[in-house]
This record gives sequence, C-alpha cells and structure tokens, in this order.
Amino acid sequence: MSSSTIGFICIGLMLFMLAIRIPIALTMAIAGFVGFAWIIAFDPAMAILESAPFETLTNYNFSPIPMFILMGVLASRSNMSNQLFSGARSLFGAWRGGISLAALMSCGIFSAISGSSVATAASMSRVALPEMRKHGYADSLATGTLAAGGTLGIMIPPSIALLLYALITEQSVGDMFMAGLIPGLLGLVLYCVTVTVLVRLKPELAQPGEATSLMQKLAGLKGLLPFTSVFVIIIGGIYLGLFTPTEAAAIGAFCTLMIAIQRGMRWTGFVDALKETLVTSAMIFFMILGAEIFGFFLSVSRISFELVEYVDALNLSPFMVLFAVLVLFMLLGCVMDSIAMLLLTVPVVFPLIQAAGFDPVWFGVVAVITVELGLITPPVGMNVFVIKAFAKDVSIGSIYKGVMPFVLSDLVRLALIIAFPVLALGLV
Amino acid sequence: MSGFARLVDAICRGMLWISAMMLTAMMLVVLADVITRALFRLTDGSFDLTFNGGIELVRFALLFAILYALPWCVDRSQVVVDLFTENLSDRSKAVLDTLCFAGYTLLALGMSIRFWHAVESSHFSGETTQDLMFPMSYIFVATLIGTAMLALRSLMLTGSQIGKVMGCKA
Repeated sequence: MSSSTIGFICIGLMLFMLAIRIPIALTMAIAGFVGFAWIIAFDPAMAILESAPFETLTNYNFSPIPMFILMGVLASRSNMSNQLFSGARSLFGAWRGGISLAALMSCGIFSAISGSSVATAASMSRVALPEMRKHGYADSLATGTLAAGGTLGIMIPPSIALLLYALITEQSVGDMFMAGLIPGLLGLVLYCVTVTVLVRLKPELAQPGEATSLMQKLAGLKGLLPFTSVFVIIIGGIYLGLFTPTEAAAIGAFCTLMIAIQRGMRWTGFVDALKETLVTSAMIFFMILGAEIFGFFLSVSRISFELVEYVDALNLSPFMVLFAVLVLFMLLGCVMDSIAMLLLTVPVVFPLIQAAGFDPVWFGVVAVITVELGLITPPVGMNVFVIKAFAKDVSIGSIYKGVMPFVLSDLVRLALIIAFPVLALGLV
Repeated sequence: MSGFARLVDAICRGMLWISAMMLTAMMLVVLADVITRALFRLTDGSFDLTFNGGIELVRFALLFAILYALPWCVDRSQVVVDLFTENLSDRSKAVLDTLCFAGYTLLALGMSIRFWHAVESSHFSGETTQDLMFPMSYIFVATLIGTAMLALRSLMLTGSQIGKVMGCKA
C-alpha cells in the first residue's frame, strides 16, 4: 500500500475518532502514531513519543504561550472589564447605540490583553449586558454586539492563534503580530460602523444614554490607560525590535500582575490565576503535542505533496484554491474550536497555499479571520452560547439574528484583506 | 483503591504547584534577563549583572510548567467535537470517555518507556545541557516522573469511567 493511501486511511481514522468525541489532541496523536508506525516501523514511531514532547516543551518559541495566557487571566481577574466599559461608556454612551460602541471598544482592548474570545464575551456580558438592557437596547443588538465583540481578540495582537500559526508554518511571530494589527483594528472599526448603520436604519434598536461632562470623559480615558499601556508596550516593543515575543509576554504578564496587585489581588487570587493559566495552557499544549506527532506522520505520508499535485492537475486558479480552503475552514469552524482547527488543518493546507503563490503571513491573517467566524456562526458558535448563559430569557435564534450583521461585517473585512493584502502586510 | 486514587490525585495537585512555580520562575527569569541586559547597555557595560543560561532556564521551566500540569489537567483540558454525540446517554458518553483515557494511558506509557531509555543512555553518556552543564539524565528523570504520573492518572480515570459504565459508584 502506498504511503499516501495509508495517509488518507489514517486521516479517515482521525475524523472518525473526532466524531465519536475523542479529544482532538488524542485523535491527532493516535492517527499520527499509527500512521507513522504503519509507513515506517513501530520502533521509530515509539521514538517520536520521546522526541515530540521533549522538543515541543523545551522549544523556547513556545514559551510566550503560557505567559500571554497568564497576562490575560490576571487582567480578567483585576476587574478590567468594569473599568474599560465605564471608561468607554463615558466617551460614547450619550450617542444612540453608544453603549454598544462602548462595549465593542472595551471588548477590543479586553480581548487584545486576554487573548480569549470566550473570556471576553463572558466578562463584558456581565458588565455591559445589564446596562444595554436597562437603556432599552433590543436583545438582538445587545447580545449580537457582545458575541461579536468577543471575537476581536483572536486577531488583535498578542494573539495565541497568530502565534501558533507562526510556529506551525515557521514564520516570524513578530511579523504575524504586526500583520494582525491593522486587520484587528479594521474589524473593530467595521463592527462600530455596523452598529451605527443598524441604529440609523432602525432607531428603535437603541436609545441614547446619559450625556457626560468633559471631566467625566477625561476620567474615563484615565481608566482606559493602564491596560492600553500594557498593550502599547508589548506591541511597540515587538515592532521596534526592543523585545522578542517571549520577552514581551513576560513583561506584559508582570505589568498586568502589578496592576492586579494595585487593584487588590492577593496571594490566593494569584494562585488561582496561575491554576487557571495552567489548565488553559495544558489544553493548548495537549493539542500542540498531538499536532507534532501528527506532523511527523504527515511528512512521511506525502499527503501534502499528493494534494498539491492533485490540485495542480485540476488547473485551478490560485484564488479558487484559496476559496476552497476558506470554505473548508468556515465549515470546520462551525463545529470545532478555532485553535484546534488551525493545528489540525494548517499543516495539510499550507503547502497548497504556498504552491498557489500566496504570502504565508497574509494567509495566516486570512485563515484566522475565517476561523474566527466559527465563534459566532451556527451550530456551535461558542460565544453565542456564552452570551446565552448571561441572557437566559433571550432565545438562541435572537442572538444569532443579532450576530448576523457582524458576520456580514467580518466577510467584508475578509474580502478587503484578500483584495488589498497591504492591509495585512503593510506593517510587516 | 479509592485511597490510592486519592493519593494519585494529591501527587498530581502537588505537581500542579510545581508547575505554577515554574511558570512564575519562567516569567521572572525572562524579566531578569531583559533588565540586566538593559542595564548593561545603558551603562556601556560598566554595570554587568547579565547571566548565561537564561534561555535554557526558560526552556526547562516551560517543560516542567506544562508537563507537570498535564496529569492534573488530563480530564479538565480537553477539546472535543460534541456535535454528533451530545444527545448520547451518560452511559454511552462514559464508554467514549473510557476509550479516551485508555488512549492517554497508552500514549503516556509509551512516552514513559522512551524516557526511561533516555535516562539510561544519557546517564551512561554523561550528556549535559549546553549552557548550564546540567546532567541531562536528571532532566529526563524529572520528565519521566511527569509522563509516568500522566499514565497513572489516566489509568485511574479509565478505571473510574469503567466503573460508571458498569453502574458502580465512582
């Protein structure tokens, strides 16, 4: 049997295991191990069980992951959401739809620091949802804003998804972060435009809030300062070449720890934050380990070469290849966690994209935006379920209805970045 | 048996504490590295507190921060696709979970066997780390403890899931 046939059988085995609720990390590890042992031999496959975990877990390039996660957990536990929201609200709250804009703005900053879409949606819902409902916002707009706002963090650096993509495809982490900055901010701007257009077309969706004085606005800006400064230090440091991503992560985590202590975090809170960080990091590293073992198998199976040759024989234009890959991402994104999906699919489709002549950094941005859509699209849409937990009386259908204009906005952003790659590559 | 399971859980909790310390150490080592290098540059080399082996310390801190958290997190940090199985009965889900933990047991057992060989070979060769000249055999022993505990805890969880399938109390 040819190695590529074995490869396809093992991928089939992996998909079957995924469908029967075996964890993604384990399915990749088992399919990778079995496939490698089948193609090469059992003993070399056993050797992978030593080299994959040891090389992965002692890889310096992976060290920013737990530190960025720690930074996010510390920020979440230091009442950041309240301060960000009240700061942004003092700036925009008086406008029609202004509380939605304030929620989006705070989601953007919160998710950039926390790096977790679900944590952003949960934290900001706790703070912003009652305010929006109190001011007569339609359920669809209020919940849709928060579900969509939570997704901003996957693109605005420092982003774990961009970092992992960089490591899988051997791109510079700094370049990936820089490439994500404008598309991330563009996403925030387009979401704000979406809210503005929605309330213009249907004024009944939102009422204006109370006006604030200049002093209140300045006080609000002061509240935004600490966390925005951490973000600026990290991104500025990487952009100016002052820090490596690992150093930026350590500095970011330490600065956030100082802010958290200044806001009352004590020993127990710090220990809890460490535990939460480790549980999340373990989840990601389980998947990275599985992906590493799977990667060994992919390289000997020659599946990627076969795929490239097959697509070559079809004489498809590069954009048709890209379109097919993005449709695959969108479909998988509907049923799978975004990080897991990147780890699972990028090693397979990346050679296709390279063969089609696309820039790997640009494709990373496009891939992450597409994956991000899965967080707010049916049937799984994690963020939608998080919002539902905070708004039990609002139907899932109503939340999805509220989210749809933002999905449209994401598709516009995706089209803009595909049409104008400079939006992603301008700062690289 | 439940006493043994409690002991394994307690050891895994202890390892999580070590993980937490390693994570904190990793952050502090990187900070110290950045600060000492900055001071060195700012004072044109007259104030030199820079140290060798920072990268190596971070690499091994990462290894133990993650590896020692895995046994505690094996049932807490998994991502599954629940689309086709969410309507299954609890018993059917327990059967699938049994397969999952048995899989982790075998995987971690395989890793442990390989790290056992790595301990032996590095002990005989006297291999050390590149910067700090720390014996690799010690690092492999510590790694072996992590993978062995992952295998053991996964085995305990497999047993507990089998108990659920058979209708016994966990």
